[in-house]
Amino acid sequence: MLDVADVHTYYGEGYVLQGVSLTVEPASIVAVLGRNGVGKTTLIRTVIAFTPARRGRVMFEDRDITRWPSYRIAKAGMGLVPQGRRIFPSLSVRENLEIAQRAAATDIAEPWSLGRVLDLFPALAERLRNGAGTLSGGEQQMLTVARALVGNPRLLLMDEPTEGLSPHIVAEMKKLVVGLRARGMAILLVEQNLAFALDVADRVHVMDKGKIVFGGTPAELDADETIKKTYLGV
Amino acid sequence: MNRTSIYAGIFVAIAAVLGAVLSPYDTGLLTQMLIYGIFAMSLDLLLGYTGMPSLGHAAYFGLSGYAAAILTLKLGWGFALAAPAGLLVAVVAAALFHLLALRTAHSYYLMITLAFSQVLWSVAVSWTELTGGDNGLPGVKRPDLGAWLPWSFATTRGFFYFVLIIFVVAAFALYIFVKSPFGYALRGIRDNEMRMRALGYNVWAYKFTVAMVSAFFAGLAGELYMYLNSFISPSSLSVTVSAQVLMMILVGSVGTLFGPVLGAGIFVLLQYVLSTYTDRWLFVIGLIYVGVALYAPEGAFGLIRDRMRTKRSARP
Repeated sequence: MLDVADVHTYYGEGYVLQGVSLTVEPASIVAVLGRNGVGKTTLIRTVIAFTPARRGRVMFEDRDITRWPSYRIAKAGMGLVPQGRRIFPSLSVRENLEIAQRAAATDIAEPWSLGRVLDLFPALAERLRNGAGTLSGGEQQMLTVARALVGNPRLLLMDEPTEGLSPHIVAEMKKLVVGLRARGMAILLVEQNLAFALDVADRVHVMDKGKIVFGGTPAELDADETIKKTYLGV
Repeated sequence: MNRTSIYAGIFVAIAAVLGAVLSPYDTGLLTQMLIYGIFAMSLDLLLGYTGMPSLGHAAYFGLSGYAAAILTLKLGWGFALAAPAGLLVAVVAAALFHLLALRTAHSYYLMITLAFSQVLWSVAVSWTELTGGDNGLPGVKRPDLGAWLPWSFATTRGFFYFVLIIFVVAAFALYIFVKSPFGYALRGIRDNEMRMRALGYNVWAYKFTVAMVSAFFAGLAGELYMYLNSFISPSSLSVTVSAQVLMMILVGSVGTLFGPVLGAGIFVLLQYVLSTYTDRWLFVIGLIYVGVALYAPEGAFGLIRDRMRTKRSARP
């Protein structure tokens, strides 16, 4: 459903993604691992066209979206959980969800209504009227996921969703993404947390200096001590 | 009845009573406060709600005032045609200008809006046949709406009540606007444009629309100001006016509707009081602004609101 083919992305003269290819099938989780600064976030930014690829192609459900404006890609069914709990701090929890819902496409069976999303996140349901800036870190991260879900995406881009979360919340996040996959969601997950990625992903890639240096199943990566030591520092 | 509508009712009642008891001169000041209130609210749509800092908002204020005056004086149009046409001119100008200006953001937007308003200002100064140059255009009669409103606008008091009605309608419309999903989206854009794009929002279209809405209300204020004085001159397009309305918002409270109105009231009052003592009143207002920035960055309304919140939560 997502097919990234040999994309090259630059920030000005900075050559960041140097020919990255990967695919994400429906109802599957693909994780991209790597150290800081190897281009993981840039990959996400390239897919949603915040920083479009200069060369290469991004296909989403058989449409070439490489040069589409970001908002059109989002409307076409791609959701983003940005890095660092980027909620809208000056809006309430409810308003955060409502603006996400408003722009959403609703042409799917069983759309994520506000009610259904809140069933999934009871902590948010209790704090609907609170300013989103007053939520705890874990709650803010849940809100970014909830916000992405009410947009009813078929593909979810998640940029380090476990960053800075307590082990308890990470465990909840694990349940959450596995549950989403069970309902048919495709997820492209960018992570530094190896254990989390190995636990949830169907396929893992390791990135270094803007290139993919490993692709395989979680078991294959777990068995490959050289790759783990060289590129992930474990 | 919620709290907001109770406060709004009290506000209108006080204004209506003041308009009946004050001297004509003071009623004129009150009228100015309301007009600048509309103007300041219109700018806060851009600055406070959407995060677009304009230092050229006088452009729409002056432009629609000039358009209505020129159409009335040179083409003999009546109020019913000239007034809406003036608003249309402001909105169309905002649309054309923002085709270009929306390529910029933050301080660059500030610069380009300043440049835009300065261009209009210099046109008003130099195109003497049309605008009267530095002398401006005197002699636009206040409208006569005898068919709808049973009092004359020829007196200061009569015109004040007309402005009060327009103010209430404008404030209500703006209130609905900022409380609508469109308004939430604007605040989302102010918080982070990129995130809004990732949610499927065409941020450009939202900014373009709010620029036109803002220009409409700024133009409304500009026309009322022109009719109040029966006169318009290039100073209505000047950077001084743009900076003043910006300061009204900052002194009142950014990102609210009532804050700018309060700021407009404070500003007009200060200007009146200070200018009886010194010609350098802008200098004093500048000092006050520095004080606000240092000690009450949320503005006067922010201070009041915080105090009331503390009181309310202190109650058992």
